Amino acid sequence: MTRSAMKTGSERPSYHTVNVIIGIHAATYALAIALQHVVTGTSGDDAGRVRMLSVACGLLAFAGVAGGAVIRKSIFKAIASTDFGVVSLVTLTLLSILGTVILQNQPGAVFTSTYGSLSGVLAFLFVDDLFHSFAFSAIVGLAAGALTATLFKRKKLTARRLGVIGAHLGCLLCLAGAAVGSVWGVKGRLKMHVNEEASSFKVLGDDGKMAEVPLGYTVRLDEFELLHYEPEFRLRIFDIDEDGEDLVRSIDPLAENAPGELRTYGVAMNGYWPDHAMQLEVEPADPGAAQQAALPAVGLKRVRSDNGMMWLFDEGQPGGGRLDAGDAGVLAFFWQAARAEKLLDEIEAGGGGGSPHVLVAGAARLEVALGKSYSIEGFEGLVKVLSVYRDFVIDPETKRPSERSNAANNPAMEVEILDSGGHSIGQRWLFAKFPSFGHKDKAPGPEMRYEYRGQGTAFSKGLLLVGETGEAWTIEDAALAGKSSFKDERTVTIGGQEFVVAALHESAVASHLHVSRSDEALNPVVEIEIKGEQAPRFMGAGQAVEIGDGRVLALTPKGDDVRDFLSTVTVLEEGKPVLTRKVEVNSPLSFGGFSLYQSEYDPRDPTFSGFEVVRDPGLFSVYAGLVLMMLAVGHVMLVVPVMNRLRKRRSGGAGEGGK
Amino acid sequence: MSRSGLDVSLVPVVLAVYASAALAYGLLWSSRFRLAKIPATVLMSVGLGLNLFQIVYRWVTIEQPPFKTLYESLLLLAVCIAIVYLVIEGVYRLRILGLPSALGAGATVLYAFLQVEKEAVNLPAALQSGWFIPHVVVYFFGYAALFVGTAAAAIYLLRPAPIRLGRRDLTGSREIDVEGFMSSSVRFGFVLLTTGLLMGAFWAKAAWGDYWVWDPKETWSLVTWLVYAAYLHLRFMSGWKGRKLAVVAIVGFAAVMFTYLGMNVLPTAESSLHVYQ
Repeated sequence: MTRSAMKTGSERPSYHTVNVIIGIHAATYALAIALQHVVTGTSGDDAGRVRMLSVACGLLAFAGVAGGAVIRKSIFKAIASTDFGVVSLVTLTLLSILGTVILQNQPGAVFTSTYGSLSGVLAFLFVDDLFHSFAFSAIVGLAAGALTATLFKRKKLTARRLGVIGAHLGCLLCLAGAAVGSVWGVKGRLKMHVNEEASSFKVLGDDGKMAEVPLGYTVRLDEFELLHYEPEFRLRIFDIDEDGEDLVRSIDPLAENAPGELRTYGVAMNGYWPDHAMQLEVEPADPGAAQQAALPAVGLKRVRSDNGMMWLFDEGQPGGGRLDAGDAGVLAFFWQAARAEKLLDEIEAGGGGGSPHVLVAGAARLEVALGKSYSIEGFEGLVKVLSVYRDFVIDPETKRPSERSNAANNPAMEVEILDSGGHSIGQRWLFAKFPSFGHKDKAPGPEMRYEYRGQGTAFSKGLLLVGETGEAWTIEDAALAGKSSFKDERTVTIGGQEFVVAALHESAVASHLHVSRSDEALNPVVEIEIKGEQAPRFMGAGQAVEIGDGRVLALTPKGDDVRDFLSTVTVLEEGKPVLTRKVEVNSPLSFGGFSLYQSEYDPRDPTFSGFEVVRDPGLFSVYAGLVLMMLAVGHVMLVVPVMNRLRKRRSGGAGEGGK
Repeated sequence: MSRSGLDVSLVPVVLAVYASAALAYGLLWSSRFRLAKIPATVLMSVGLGLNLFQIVYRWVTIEQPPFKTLYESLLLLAVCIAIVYLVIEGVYRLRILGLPSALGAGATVLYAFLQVEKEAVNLPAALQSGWFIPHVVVYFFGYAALFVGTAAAAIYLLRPAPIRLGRRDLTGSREIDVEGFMSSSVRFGFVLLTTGLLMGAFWAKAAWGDYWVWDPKETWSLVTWLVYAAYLHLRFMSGWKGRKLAVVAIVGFAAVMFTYLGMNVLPTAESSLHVYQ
């Protein structure tokens, strides 16, 4: 389209001014708002109906300009003019910007709290759901009218005009397809578990309630796979102020220069274990040394097992405890036979158990149970046990505490501190193997630590090892079933499992070593020392500490580690499978007029899969429009200038663009 | 394990080379420094080569297209600006755009350098698509073409007269009409912008079942498209030539930059699937 072809004074209608065109757009916008008030009311209607009526409003605006164009040639010329098109484009631009500046589709309370007194005005103008408002559709309708008029502006079809026609026709096809999809399309959700079948899916109905829409066939979810990238963690330093948090530094804790980088922020990094665990080291106490907490200990090994030594410490001593040995029952150890006799009496009397969770506060040792509250000497309030974990880990997906395994590798307890009135004043995490964890939390309350004594609240089966006699007492059905010597590595059998005592110390010193069970970041822990603090800290996944200067150091997942989620789905008709295939993101299943898009997973439920189910009868028109637009824009912008240049060369005259 | 390395170490080098190229092209604005022609082109080419190497190296190292993070996309944008400029220089023998192009590429690399997160991140399921590479690359070449068009617009505002060339360019012309050149660049950028936008619609349909959901980033992509569509139509309206059009071209590129980098200031961006975090 050349400038000379566009601008001839005789073609311009008398009222063909930009101001009039702007007035038409403004009036259409205002009328559409009024119409929406009349049809749906200011309080709004259900979303589905509003969207449908909104399309109708767009069609009405389109019909208005089309009707005017048919009736009067001067109106047709005005609508087909570039001026009209530009005003429509600018109006749509401004409205689109407005729709990104104002919150969309938010609940009334959020809208009111954000915009205050202005919220009423915005809602009155339907700006709170602008892109589905009558007014926006009406402007799109005007633009569609202009596009259509342009198509009929020139009757002669030339190679140079192909692109212009194609581009405008492509836009129209897209708009038409979108309108058809809005009115006759269906979109809903299908949530399934593995081995479940479904013949319908849920959509939000016109009445605002969920409705079931039949698929016309049955789908069965055969399998669901949630694939992960290898988890990675980063030590991130944030600047915290009233405006929020700014990332200052992100450090790979495995990188060689990580300690050096942290040191510049006043933090010394003593160690990092991607899959942290505590490894127990037990050695005979040195009689000549100033003794620390030495106590009797016995080391057991399972016969024909690669597992390491299991250590038991005298149950009668602070720090002693039992072990859960699975099918073998409970393993307990006393040095003195008299103490073992006492426990045996308790067992045979129906007791001998107690909670494996012990809260130690000062001299007090409380056997605690989940959900119960306890008073601690020297503290006026109560301590309530909220949750306990045998192998605590922060789930990398949910970022919530969870059990890594059934083994008691990292026992943890979450307690709530209650004041004397029973009101919560804080929460705290206690880790049996990391007594320093949580101690410096700001939560008030008494100094305390958590001890995990192993399973076996009811000691009905197991082994009671007696150090001074070198005997193993077998307990079955809460009674003594027999005694045998475990000296000289003799095998002791219980519950079909064989053990040997590999080490026995009347006085031993235990120490815990930090180790990583694997290279995978399954339970990352970092040990740091902060400038000005005396004791080191241990930080696990998701934990953060203040490091001074308004900065916080956090051990956080590097990013989302879900690689893919895919479902194997079988389509059944009349009970017979007709199609089986994998559905994943970017690869939907289309069958029987519906397309199933993989859309959801639940990290806590590996059998769950969620699909978006879509039927869009306008899709073909939209696709055709998109393809046509791509080709046509290329033609107008790239082919036509070349044609112009060639013509210029042939004629020796001036071409488009003044070149 | 950390998956960044040599490409990150090279950032200051690439920045220095682009800055040197900008200096050399800047000298060319004065007729006394004609000898800087070849060094300027060489420096820009070396900058492009190193910049390109960064992307290829990272691609090979992380075993995925390096277009996911803001840092990675900034490196790509710098490459696109340098390529588009050097092609223009080769075809039109026009070096007046060298200064803004080298500055643009350098500023982009500087911004990449200032990013705290330079590490590669895993591609989420939705980005593991055949559309990912063409959609991003087409868009960024579009941005680069529009950048060059905007630079031409700025030059036109400063000096609207045609630029005489020392010798004929590859199109056979002896002079460059800056306004026409600006329009050509915008036109080319608009084609790529349209193609990228429509590819995005196809991709979104395949990934999520919707070709358009009025996501803030999508909407701003539409805004930039509408602004440039208005620009292309304004050329045919009386009174909309020269300086006014140049201003519209600059406004259009401001919309491009906002779409690319400014989304985080929008209240609606929190729910966006496309915003660089």
